[in-house]
Parts: sequence; C-alpha cells; structure tokens
Amino acid sequence: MTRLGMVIDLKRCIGCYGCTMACKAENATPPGVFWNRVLVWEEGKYPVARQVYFPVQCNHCQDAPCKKVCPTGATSQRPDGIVLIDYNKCIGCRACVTACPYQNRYYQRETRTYYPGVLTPFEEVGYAKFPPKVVTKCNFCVHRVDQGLQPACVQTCISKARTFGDLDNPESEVSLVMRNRHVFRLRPELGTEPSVYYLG
Amino acid sequence: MVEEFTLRFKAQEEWGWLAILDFFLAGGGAGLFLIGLFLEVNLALLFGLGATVLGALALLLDLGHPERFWRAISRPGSSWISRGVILVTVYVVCGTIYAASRAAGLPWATDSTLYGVVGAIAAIAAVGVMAYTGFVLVDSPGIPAWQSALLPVQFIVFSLLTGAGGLYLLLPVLGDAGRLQALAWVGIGLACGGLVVLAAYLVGLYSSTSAAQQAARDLIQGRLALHFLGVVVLLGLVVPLIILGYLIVARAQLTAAAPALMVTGALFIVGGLLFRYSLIKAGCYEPVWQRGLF
Repeated sequence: MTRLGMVIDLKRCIGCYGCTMACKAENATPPGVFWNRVLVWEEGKYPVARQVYFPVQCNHCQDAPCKKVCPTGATSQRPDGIVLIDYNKCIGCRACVTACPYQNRYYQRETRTYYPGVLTPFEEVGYAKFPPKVVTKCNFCVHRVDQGLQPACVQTCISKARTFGDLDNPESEVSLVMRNRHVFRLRPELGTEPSVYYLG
Repeated sequence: MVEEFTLRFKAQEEWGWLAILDFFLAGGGAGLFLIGLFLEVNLALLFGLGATVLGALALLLDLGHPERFWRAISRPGSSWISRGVILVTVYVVCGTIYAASRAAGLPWATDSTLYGVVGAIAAIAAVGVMAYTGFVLVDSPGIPAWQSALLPVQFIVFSLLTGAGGLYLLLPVLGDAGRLQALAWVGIGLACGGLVVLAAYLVGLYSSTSAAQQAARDLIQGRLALHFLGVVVLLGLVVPLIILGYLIVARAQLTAAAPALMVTGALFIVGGLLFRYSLIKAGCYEPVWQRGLF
C-alpha cells in the first residue's frame, strides 16, 4: 500500500526559503498564509554558535488530530495518506487550527491582497481556488502528485534537502535516504504519526 | 509575522469572544435549567433555555460559514463539536417541551410518565452541554494547558455556579423565601467546589510541560492574572462565599437578603464568564521543537 511522505534533511537545508516561495507561487496563498515555513533560531554561544534552519509544513499525520475534531468531515485523508480539506464542507469553526499541534493550519478572516485593494491577475486566478473564511493548509501539492510530479517545495529545493515518495516502499528514494541516518519526527509523544520525517 | 518563523510559545488566537460567549451562555444556561428543574422554578427553566439559544447564536456568528452550520452534526463519532451540537439540540427541544408544557399548565405535565422522561432527557442533555465545551478544549493536543481531565469537571462546576447566579438574580422576583438558606448552601458548596477544581487544575499545570507552566504563569502572575485571580477567584468565588456565609450565620430574611443575593448572583455570573475567558486565552502551543536537541 502506498503511503506518501516527505523526508527533510536538516544538514542539507541552507535556509534559502525557496520552498516557502515555491509553495506560495504554486498555491497562490494570500499574505500571511504560509503552508510551508522555515523556522530559524540560534543555538550555542559565541564563538561556538550557529543558526538552525528548520522547515515545517503540514505533517499529513496518519492519526491526524485535525481530522478527528472536524465536525463536518471537511478534513479527510486519502488512502495514500494525504490529508485534504474540502472547502465546500468547511464551516470555519477553527477546531482543527487549535487541534493541530504543529500550528500548520491557517484561517483567513478576510481576503487579503498583496497590493492594497487590487487583485493581480495571478491572485485572481489563485484565490479562486479557495474561498475566504475556511481553513487551509499544505496538501502536498496533490494536483501535481496526481500527475506524477513532485510537490513544488521538493522540486525547487536547490540543496536537495527534501525527498518525497512512498514511505511503504523500502526501495523508494524516500526510504533509501533515511537508511543509516538519525531520523525523527515532530512531537512523537502525541502519537499523531506524522508522514514528514527529518534527518538530523 | 516574524513569530511564524521561529520557535516560541504562541498563544492561540483563533477562539475569541464569540466562542467564549457561546461556552458561557450555553453552559450557564444549562446550569440554570438544571437547577431550576430540581428546584421546580419554571422561570429558571425558561431563562436557562433562552441563554443556551443565545449561546448557539453566538457560535453561529463565530463560524466562517454559518449557512453551513447543519453540517456540524456530521461527525458525532469523533468530534466533540458535533456531539455538542446534538446535545444542545436535544436539550433545547426537550427542555422547551418540558418547560412550555408546565408553564401552559397542560394536563400531561402533572401526571404523565412521558413528561418525566422528556424532563430526564433534557436534564441529561443539559449535563452534556455543560461538559462538552471542556471536551472540545481537551481535543487540542497542541495546547498542553487544555490537556487536563479536570477541564470538563471545571466547566460543569462553573456552569452550575453561573446557573446558581442566575437563580439568585431571579429569587427576589420569585419571592421564594422558604428556600433562602438551602440556596445559600448550594452556592457555598459550588463556590468551594470551584476553588478546589481550580487549585487542582493549577497544580496540574505546574507539573506539566513548559507550555502548560507558561499558561499557569499567565493565569497567576501574567497577562491574565487580573481576570483569573482578581475576578474569577476573588470576586467570583471568595467574595460570594463571604456574603453567603454571612447570610446563613445571620439567618437573614429574603427581603433583607435580596440585594446581597443579587450581588452574589452577579458575581457568580461575571466569574463564570471570565473563567471561560481566562482558560481559553491561557491556551498556548508548545513549540514544535526544542532548542539544542540536534
């Protein structure tokens, strides 16, 4: 059985924010909505200090708390593990936003534009895909994946820090890159079983 | 915007005043209904139902798409919001039939088993309405301050306190002097219960994760201290305890005690509202990663 997931190699990530921008360009998310972020913080003390870059996005958890709390069934999961939101079913109660321990869901109270009061042609086309006052999040670029393409963040990553594929196939690239590496997932104690893995 | 790109405690901002009003009016209304049911105060039943309906309206206004509200009953198997909507519906329908029949003096309201069953269903659903908001919060694993088994208990206690406050406001209107002492004891019991569950909850927060400890600090000495310690604990529980204790010791008559009872009722109600505000605003997310772990 196919279980789609992503591996992010933190030793390769250079913090260029290419994934963040590729995601915004691909999915036309409005201002303030970041389905793909890179967290940055400093560790250590001078002279042994460094900056850590830590990409985060929807983890497409196998036991997704957002799916459990959704009162309408707007949040659902495909057999391949991708967690999706049906914008026509979402009532905007935001229970999923508070339930997501990874803070990767966004609720838009109003349609915001990059230029005050004006929609660019790109925004006109892009914003038609999701109405305001519903919750949105990363969908692993499902429209690309269904065409056999990689998600935009994977495609664009210049340091090849991201790998996407079938986690259940031991010979897939995504499984191979995890071999002999320190692999972890975020907040494993919550039992959400994220499909995004990190290599430390 | 910058906070979206670094590790920090982040207060939840999605649920604000409308959600708080829903939690307060729905729970408090159910509490008033339940107390009115047991004490057979018809006016309390009607006011309780009215408050719950107002709470439901607040929730509707809070939704991004209120026109799709009917979809909210789709997932009772997993979602506490779905269960809550069903509980509120059952409670309002059965409670309205029960209260309206009694108010209209219909014959079946005096000696019918079915009437009793309708009342029992309304009472059970009312308890569910008081508790479910606590379960809604518990369903958010990313907010450790809400991961407490005490939360539904707290919501029940503070719903009953709010209901008792409503009854105290109604009592002078009802002129029910015979139950003054008993009602004062009910208030004392509930206020003591409120203090106990709050203390146990805070102890639990301090012994939990860093985000839960942050919430406890916010409640005790931070941004919510005035709301929580000042209003919920001091004005909402301690001051009413003193007033009610005095009324019992002084064996006050209803005429003399009416203003004090109304003040106590108002304090219970304000405390109940700020209790929900404090708890919902205290919720903050645990950072997704801890510094220095790799």
